Amino acid sequence: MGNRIILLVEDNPDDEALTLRSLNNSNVVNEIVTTRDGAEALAYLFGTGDYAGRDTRIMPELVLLDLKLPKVDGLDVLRQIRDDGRTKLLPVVILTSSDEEQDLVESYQLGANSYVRKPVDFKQFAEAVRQLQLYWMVLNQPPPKRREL
Amino acid sequence: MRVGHKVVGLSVAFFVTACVVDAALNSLFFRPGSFWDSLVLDVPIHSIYTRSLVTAFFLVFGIIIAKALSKQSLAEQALKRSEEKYRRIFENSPIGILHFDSNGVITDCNSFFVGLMGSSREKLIGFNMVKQIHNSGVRSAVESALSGNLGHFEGDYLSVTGGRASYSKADFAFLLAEDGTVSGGVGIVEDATVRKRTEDTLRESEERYRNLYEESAKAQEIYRSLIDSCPDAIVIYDMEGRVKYVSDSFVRTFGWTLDEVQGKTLDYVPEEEKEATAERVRNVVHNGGLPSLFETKRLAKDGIIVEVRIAASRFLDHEGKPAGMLVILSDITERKRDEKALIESEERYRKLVEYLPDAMGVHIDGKIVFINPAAAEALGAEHPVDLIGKPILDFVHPNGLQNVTRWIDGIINEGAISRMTEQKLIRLDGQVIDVEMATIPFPYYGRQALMSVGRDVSERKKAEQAVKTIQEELERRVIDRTAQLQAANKELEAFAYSVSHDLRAPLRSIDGFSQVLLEDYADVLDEQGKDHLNRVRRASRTMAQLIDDLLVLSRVTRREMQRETVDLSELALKVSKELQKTEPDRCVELIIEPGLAAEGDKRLLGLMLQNLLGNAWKFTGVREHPRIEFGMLDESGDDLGGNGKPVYFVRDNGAGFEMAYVHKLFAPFQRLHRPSEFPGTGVGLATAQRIVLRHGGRIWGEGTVDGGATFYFTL
Repeated sequence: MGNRIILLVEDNPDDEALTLRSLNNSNVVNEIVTTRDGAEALAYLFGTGDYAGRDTRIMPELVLLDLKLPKVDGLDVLRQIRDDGRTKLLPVVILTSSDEEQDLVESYQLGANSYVRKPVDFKQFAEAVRQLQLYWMVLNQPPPKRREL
Repeated sequence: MRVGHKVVGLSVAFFVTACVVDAALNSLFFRPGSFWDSLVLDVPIHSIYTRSLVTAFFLVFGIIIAKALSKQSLAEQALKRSEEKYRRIFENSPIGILHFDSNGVITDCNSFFVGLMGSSREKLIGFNMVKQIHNSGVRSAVESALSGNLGHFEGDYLSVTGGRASYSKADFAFLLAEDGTVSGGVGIVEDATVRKRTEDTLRESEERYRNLYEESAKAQEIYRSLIDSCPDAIVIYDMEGRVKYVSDSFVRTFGWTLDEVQGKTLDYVPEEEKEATAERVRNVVHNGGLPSLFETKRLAKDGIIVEVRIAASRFLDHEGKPAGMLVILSDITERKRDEKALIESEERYRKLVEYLPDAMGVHIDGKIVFINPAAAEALGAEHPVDLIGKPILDFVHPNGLQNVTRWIDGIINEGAISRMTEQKLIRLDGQVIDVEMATIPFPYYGRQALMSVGRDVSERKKAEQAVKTIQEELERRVIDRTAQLQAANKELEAFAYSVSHDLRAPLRSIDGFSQVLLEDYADVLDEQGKDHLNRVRRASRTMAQLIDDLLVLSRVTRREMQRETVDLSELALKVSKELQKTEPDRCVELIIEPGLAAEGDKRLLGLMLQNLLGNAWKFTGVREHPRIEFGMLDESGDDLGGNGKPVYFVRDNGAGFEMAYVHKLFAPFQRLHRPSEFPGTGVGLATAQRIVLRHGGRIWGEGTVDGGATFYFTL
């Protein structure tokens, strides 16, 4: 079995680079899959488009989802994740620079597990990512892997 | 002097007799040798001297004897005469007399007694009263007399021997014998029957008269009290116009007592009434006219005028002759006053109706019976009179006819109360007017009528319509503006959103990769290089902060205020706790006045306190014993510019600021300290000010360099 997968949905290459750096610097070892827009994220998750043929039984254990995404918006992605039986229980952490209340509310309403604001300060940012990884991949009990719900 | 005469006569008689005797004697007796001669003493009787002596002696003796004899015979005669008299009296006495002996047996009685007993002398004489009389009263009277007392009887008696009944009065007296014992008695019996009857009758009649008198007195009393009880004043005059009697009511009303006016004429007619009064009196008293009833005035004793209604009539005595005049005065002063008040009140109401600016009309069975000038004018009539009799439906707009008819029926039949409703009426000239009117049922001269009160509101309606039009126009404009505003707001929101997201991302990159450089290329970089990168990082962080603050500031303006009662003390406490969390090791003395509350938006107020307390927290960082206070001033703060509103304050003993720059305090981005001294973007106070302004308050600050600062605000 491979390492546990974290799906990172992030359109900003800088943010992506910094996030990956933080995730890899930690003691927790994960396979990080990056998709750069909402559509790609969904394609990956459901094994469609560019990811057709992917074994969708293998699901990430955590999705770090940015909100402002090209093509398909982060909230839309979230909605579709929650709508599909295969991904319904998937832990999704919204990782965004937005502190708009409406984003916060909607995210939770759509079923996000967590909402983290990306601090501008890198040190803080790195710490936040590390903690997320630690929490979700180590401390937290993932939902059971089920085919269909 | 009859006695004297008698004596002289007798003396003469006796002298003559004496002489004769003497002569006789001389011749007869005094012869010597007779018997008589032997008797006499040896005294020479032949001498004249002796003869005279003897004669004198015989004279005297004769006189004495004569006297005695005459006395006796006189007495006898007198006795005889008196007995005679007595006998006569006895027999003819109009009262019964009887004699009885010591046993009570009747020995004699007179004819009256006989008649009284209804008996006969034969039966009566010898009748034993003690033994034979049944009547105990008589018997005891007789016995009483017989025992030496006086006996008396009075009463009914039935005679034993005659059977005659009578009412008798009898007195029995005792007679004494020579030895002092009771020898019998005499009774005097009076037939008191007639007298008694008379007495009885007299007594009865006396009784009757007394009763009659009492009754009459009582009747008089009753009549008098009747007169006195009458609430109206009563005066009784005799035929000459003098007062015979005045009732108590009269005294009460007019003041004169009976004593003051009895027997005199009553002078209480006011000057102006005198002639009329005299005329009436003449009519009533002398012509025997019908009782007169009229209203007039009279004067009381104290001069006060009393309005009265007088009923005057003549009355007759027991023979049917005019005896006087009866005058009954009813005090109508109060009634007259009430009448006057009523008239005045009526006048007032009439004027009210006449001058009422509102229209008022009364209609019966659909026809106008009364209309006031205002109504007439409203309906286009010259004079109210023009409208009397016209059917009210003529004035109702055809559109409303059905409703009005139904409505009127409702009022009449069900007594429905009508409130002011708007209706359209048609004037005489055909013009349509809007009126507001109410109609109620009410009795009018005894008939069921309807009264309508209303007002021509045509003008008002036009004004209302104009206002309405303007209102609609304004509302439309408001809606437009609001739409515009909302659109603008939406734009702003979108802008803010994109700012918050898009501007931050590059900053993160800048900071991030600078850090990466620092970490990964630490060994390659010299101090200078590291310093450069650190500056880059700091700058990006500052920018991020600025963006955050600006966002907040803009949100403060955009956000709709939700007013509620906010516990400021609690809010301050919460903010302080959060501040403490950022620096758990710091020990700051916090004094928060409890119970401070204000009306406002909770979030915005929280934000404001965050700014103010955050500042205080920041600027006391240099102090050994930092002290932050939040409270309210005791005075209403008029002199401090509070305008009567409570003034809150946040005080710290931190770095303070120079008062010279106080005007820059609230300008955005303006800082009074260098970033090296204290971090900050200079937006905090601007935000606080904007919040305070939105709450309609004021905010200002005071400080001294290194002496702490105090920020005051009102809401």
